[in-house]
Amino acid sequence: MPKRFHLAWFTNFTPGDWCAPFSHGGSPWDGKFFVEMAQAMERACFDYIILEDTLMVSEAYRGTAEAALKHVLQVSKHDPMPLAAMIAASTSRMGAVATMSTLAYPPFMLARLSATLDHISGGRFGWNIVTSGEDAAAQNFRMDELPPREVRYAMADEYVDLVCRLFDSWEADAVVMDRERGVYADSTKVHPIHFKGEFFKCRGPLNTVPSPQGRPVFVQAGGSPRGRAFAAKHADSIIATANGIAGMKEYRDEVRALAARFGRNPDDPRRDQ
Amino acid sequence: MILGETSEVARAKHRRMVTSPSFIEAALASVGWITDIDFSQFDLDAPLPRITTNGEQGSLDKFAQWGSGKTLRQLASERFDSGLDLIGTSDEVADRMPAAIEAIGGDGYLISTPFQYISRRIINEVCEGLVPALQRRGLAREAYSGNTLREVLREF
Repeated sequence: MPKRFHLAWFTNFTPGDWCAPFSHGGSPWDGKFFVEMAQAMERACFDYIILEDTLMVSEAYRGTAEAALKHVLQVSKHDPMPLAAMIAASTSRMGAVATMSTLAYPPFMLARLSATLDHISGGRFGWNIVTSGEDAAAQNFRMDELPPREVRYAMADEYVDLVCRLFDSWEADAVVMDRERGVYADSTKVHPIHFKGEFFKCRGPLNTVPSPQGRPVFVQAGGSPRGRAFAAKHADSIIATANGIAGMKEYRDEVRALAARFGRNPDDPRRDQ
Repeated sequence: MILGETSEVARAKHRRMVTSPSFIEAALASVGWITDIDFSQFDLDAPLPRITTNGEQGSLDKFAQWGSGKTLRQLASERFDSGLDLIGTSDEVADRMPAAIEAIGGDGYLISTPFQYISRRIINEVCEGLVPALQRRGLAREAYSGNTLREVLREF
């Protein structure tokens, strides 16, 4: 029996190949093209569709946005979260993973949105954790420039700890729906978290009920040494790019060793290249 | 990966794509935005000088193929090469896919297309061409058993 492997597809909410000989024409903004894509993928039994995202219009090439806008390079790009909800509602088995940046979303909002999508999907939602990697994105979120990678990942480590505390702020059996006493949720099982970290403060508890997966699947793509450590510590599914077979093997071996060092089973983070 | 009715058709599709007038510029601009580096400042026909980024370092390292001696133009045309040669018919590509998994010990493949350009045609080539070829070889799931995404990831 050969070893089966997992399949996922990395895409984004852009017009993509809008003027190719075979094309949807360039205005996929009602989301239906991607819903149909997800349904075709589900017939083929993919693990998940992943919606990549960025939060800026790049002027990195020649100092202008001309190339980005001309070639549909990351713009125009619409918000993946409503699209993830549409995909979740139009499929029944395959996962829907969407990208949210720890630089952009307040942790409480991210936890709430994730829990809501995990409910809408019946436990098939995943969060692709990114820290953002562009000055232009940082400048859309009250910063003058992107914090250095070490700081971004330190922020992201604390961020993930915080959202996990929020996901755990309701005990699993907190929703009692006791008709006799007229009680929806048991107040003794919902707890503030009073989180005070180096970067974030959050009182909690979350205001959503516990979601089917408890917390969404965490997907991560860290490539730098710091990013690899982050992925090894937190991810359920690691997507990575590396050079050739030797580079990919080196990456996988190191991430598995790091996962073991963080006290995880090295088989827990699944890796797709 | 690039799929076609014959190997020749798939290779011609790939060649036409990476030599098209806009591909080099789009490739350089696209690696530029994830690294905050303006690649228009470098000579297209000379090797890329050693550079680092505060953006996506892993993506820069993969693009630059440090030590290969390739020109920036060659690097741009190979921007999306995985090093796995997944160009051909569905059956040819399905035959080649297990080798990398075995060599690396990997769990699976993340499919993407250059610049995330997709069409219904590409979606059908993968979902109704390649994946059935993988399923016939016992290499891909034919039915889900897990209910949640976390369970699906851990099915095998």
